Amino acid sequence: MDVRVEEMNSEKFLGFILAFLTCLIAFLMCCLIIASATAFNSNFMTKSIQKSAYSSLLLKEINDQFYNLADISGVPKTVFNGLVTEDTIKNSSIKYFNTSMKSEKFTSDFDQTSIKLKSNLENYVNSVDNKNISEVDLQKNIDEFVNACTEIYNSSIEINYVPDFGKVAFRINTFIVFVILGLAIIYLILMGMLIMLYRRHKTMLRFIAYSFSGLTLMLFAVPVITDILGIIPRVAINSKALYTLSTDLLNWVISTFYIYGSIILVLVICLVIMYITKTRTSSKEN
Amino acid sequence: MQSNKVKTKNNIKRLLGFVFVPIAFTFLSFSIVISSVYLVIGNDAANSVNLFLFKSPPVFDAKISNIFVPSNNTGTYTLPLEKVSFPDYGNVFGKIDIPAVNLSSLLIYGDDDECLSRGAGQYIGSFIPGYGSTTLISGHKNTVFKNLKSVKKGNTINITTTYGIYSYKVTKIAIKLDSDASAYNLETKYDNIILYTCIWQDTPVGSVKMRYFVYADYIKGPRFIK
Repeated sequence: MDVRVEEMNSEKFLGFILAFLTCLIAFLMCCLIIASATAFNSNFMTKSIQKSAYSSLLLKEINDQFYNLADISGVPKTVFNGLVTEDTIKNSSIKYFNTSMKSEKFTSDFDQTSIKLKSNLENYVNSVDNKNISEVDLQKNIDEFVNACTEIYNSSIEINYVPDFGKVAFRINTFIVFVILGLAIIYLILMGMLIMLYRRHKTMLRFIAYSFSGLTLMLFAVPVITDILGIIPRVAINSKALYTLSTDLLNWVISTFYIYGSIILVLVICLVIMYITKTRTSSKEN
Repeated sequence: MQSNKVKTKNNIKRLLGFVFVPIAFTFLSFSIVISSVYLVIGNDAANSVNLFLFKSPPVFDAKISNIFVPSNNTGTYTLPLEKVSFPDYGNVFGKIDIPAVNLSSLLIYGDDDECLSRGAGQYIGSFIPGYGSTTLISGHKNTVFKNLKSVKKGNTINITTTYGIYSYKVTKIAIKLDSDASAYNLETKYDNIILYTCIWQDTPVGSVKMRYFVYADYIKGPRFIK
């Protein structure tokens, strides 16, 4: 009798261990899948830029700097009319993120805009009668002005750390797939062991439900903890546009945990219902 | 009857298991993950995270705040450094006056567009007055520093802060390129200020690279004991 109880206890203990290990491995797999589907994915970045208010805020920041430059050199702000639009910025930013995430070199697409700016400046200069400056110096100042605008535009589009992050993401994306595959194999082995351990279908269901409900709770805990600690709103970025993009990106990454958690929750509910039904059936049989 | 009670009790226990077991799994998993990260990276992990986080969420639309309470102390005296409350970025921490040209402006710690739209801005890589080195201040040529072009050698520049009033004498005026490294030295071992703005130009397209510099040396004001 004692031997039987001991056997049952060790079987139970092994069941808990297997359920816990499958739960932990599944959580790690989910984290890796979420990372590769969001933060390390150029499509996700592109969609985020399209959805976020980043382009409109960046347009304001760029225009403010252009107008400041116009004040410095005494040029009317009208030379910038229709020059840079929200779409121009959106396209440049998407191109920048795509090239960075593919570990490629970004080439600015401001060339056409700078030609248009130069033509606007020359039209304005031609309309001024008293120039008080030699042609050579004037041309030099125009070139300086256009170069300064190009510099402002490019430095606003290009974001520090993104190319480095892109390189890392590009390198580890393949590695992540292998890690996920490895974890999936270990997961299946452990799950197989759990299924083999219990001949009684009811107990097996109980432990699988433990594993999945633990996973659900962990997936929900990540965004909740992030929210409680107030991590995302405290991101150390001084540009409003970049801050908006970063917080939006992080919020969307974190909200993916809720989506995955909700899907697994449905599975858990099904398992618990199956378990309860099975328990009732076996009680009636007894 | 007894066996039914036991069965109900067992069923309740099992159902409670669906609540407590996942909680236990979560705590255990997070403990393992956090301990592993700590073991691999150590204290650097927390420090690295803090590098990317502010203490509180940044405020973009109301960045400028006024902490300036004008001091009445006009003399030259010493101040223990720990008794001076250093301004944060975007704080109005003083006032700059050049009586000879009727120039007066708030002095803000920081020199981004928003700071410069509200007054003269001190570059945060330079030192606050009294520290014993260079204070680099910029302003817009058409607003706060409109009259800077009329400043002459020998004019007095006053800076009023919460901890004391400083006077400086203009020693040099120069027009230099913004990229000219000789335009300012932030590692001097004596109190001095440098004011700069863009140059005033009477051409359709002026140079965007030239800057107008006014150099002034310390005359009086409290000095910090470091």
